[in-house]
Amino acid sequence: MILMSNTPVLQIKNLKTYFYSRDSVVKAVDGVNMEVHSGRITALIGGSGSGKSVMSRSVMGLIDKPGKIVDGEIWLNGRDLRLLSEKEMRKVRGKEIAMIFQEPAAAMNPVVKIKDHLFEAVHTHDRKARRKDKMPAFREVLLGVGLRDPDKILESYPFELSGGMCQRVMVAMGIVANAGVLIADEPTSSLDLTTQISILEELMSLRDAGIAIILITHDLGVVAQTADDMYVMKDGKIIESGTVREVFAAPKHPYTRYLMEPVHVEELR
Amino acid sequence: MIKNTGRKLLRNKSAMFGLMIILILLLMGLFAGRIASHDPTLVDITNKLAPSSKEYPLGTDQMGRCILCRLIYGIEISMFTAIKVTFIILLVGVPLGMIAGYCGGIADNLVMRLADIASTFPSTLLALAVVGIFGPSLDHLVLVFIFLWWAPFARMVRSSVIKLKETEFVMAAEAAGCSRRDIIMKHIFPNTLSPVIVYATLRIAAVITHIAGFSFIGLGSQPPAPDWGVMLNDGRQYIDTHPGMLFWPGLAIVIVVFAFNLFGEGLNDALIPAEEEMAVVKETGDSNE
Repeated sequence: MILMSNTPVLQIKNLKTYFYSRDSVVKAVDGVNMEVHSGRITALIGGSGSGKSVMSRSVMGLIDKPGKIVDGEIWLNGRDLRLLSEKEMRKVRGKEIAMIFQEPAAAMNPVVKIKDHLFEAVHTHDRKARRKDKMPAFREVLLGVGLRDPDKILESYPFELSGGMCQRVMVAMGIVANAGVLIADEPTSSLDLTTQISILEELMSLRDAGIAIILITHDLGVVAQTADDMYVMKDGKIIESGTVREVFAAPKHPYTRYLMEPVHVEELR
Repeated sequence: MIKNTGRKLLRNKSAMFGLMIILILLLMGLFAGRIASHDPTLVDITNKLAPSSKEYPLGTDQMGRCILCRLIYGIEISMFTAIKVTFIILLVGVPLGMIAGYCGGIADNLVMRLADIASTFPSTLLALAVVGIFGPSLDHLVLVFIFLWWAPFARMVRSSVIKLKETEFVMAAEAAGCSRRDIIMKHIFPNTLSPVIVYATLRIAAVITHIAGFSFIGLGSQPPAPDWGVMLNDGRQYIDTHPGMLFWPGLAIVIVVFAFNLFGEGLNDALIPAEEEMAVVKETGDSNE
């Protein structure tokens, strides 16, 4: 196992994100503490509605009304993201933290070509970038994520690609933006098994390149295969955490044990 | 999407036929001065109500003016005006719809209530009122159309924007650090366009018939302007003796409206997937006509 560096690249302290309706409060994330290290895959696991997606959106600062981050600190590269203005936050998104989504085909604008998607990921943070200069790099990255015909793919629209290809492009977008932290929100749940494995392999090679990855999933099999650390979330709270090896060897919380029974893994989906 | 749309449209024969007619007429309108051999307003009483001849292919009207020349110059009044008006309607309606959809809240409420007001006014009634107060003229009429007809566009755009705002790709763009302007211009705006383009094309035809209609009853363009509606009105008295005076401008209107409708239908088939078609029809089923 890679040596754990002492200071985490992303540290979340006592994060609370609540959603307000007329007469009730939903505590989607309720006092979460989490550490994410470079060169490691940190899995965040939990059932539907456990708050794991809200948690990732909170980190990105993408919580809209009626939701609100009411308390906590999000430390990234020595700054508390909660204290940044929207404009400063925009510079963090994509550049320091990139995100890939569950439905890769839906996460890309149908009227924008792949090359323009990739270019946007660069251009958003580097206004001087020129499309022409970047094309060789894009080709390289697409080859790197296992897409064999980069020239054709660059000229394609998202709906002309398969789900797996779209997800590889999403990963490529994360790479060209050169972000140190990558949040993958259920990146494989809409893909078939073989594609799933190869996407996970891409994520693992990104980890080996030193990127910190937060892998949000409900699939313990995926966690066991790929992750280094894991956090189990239930009803907005972290109920168990540790390295994957530790937790799998001796799950302390009954809910974790419940999840690990094969029948319930199926139920979770 | 763009490639497919083009191909679908090219394969649609009736749409291409419509587009061809539109383009030919537009060119004729642009070069009216070169094509038409006579001044459309030049009165020559000695030569009135002449039958078709080499010099006057469709004959002359009661003032001795060349009917074909007047029809060709009429293209500018009806088609060019209609296209311009529709363009202005788009310039008003689309941004308002974007604001309403994207901002929501008070802005949304304000724009939508204005749209409600605009779509409850019968266009004929308001046109009569405006013409009654400010006097008959094409400009006044055009203002009425702009004032009323931006509403369905705003509605249409608003509903697409609300849908698009929640899509994953907009969220992904936010997560990639795109500015609000980029998200609106690159990710939301282009995806709202298809129904707007289709409806705008059909709207041009509606504006043409309305201009002709109001000119016919004397509330739009005024004689001696070579407006097709005015020509129809001129021809009314000669329907027994010289039916051509009524027939040719009528045919011109029918052809243009037919062409725009064909083209609009073709665009509809090419741009909008079948399951969404119903929605567009529903959203635009306003009481204006």
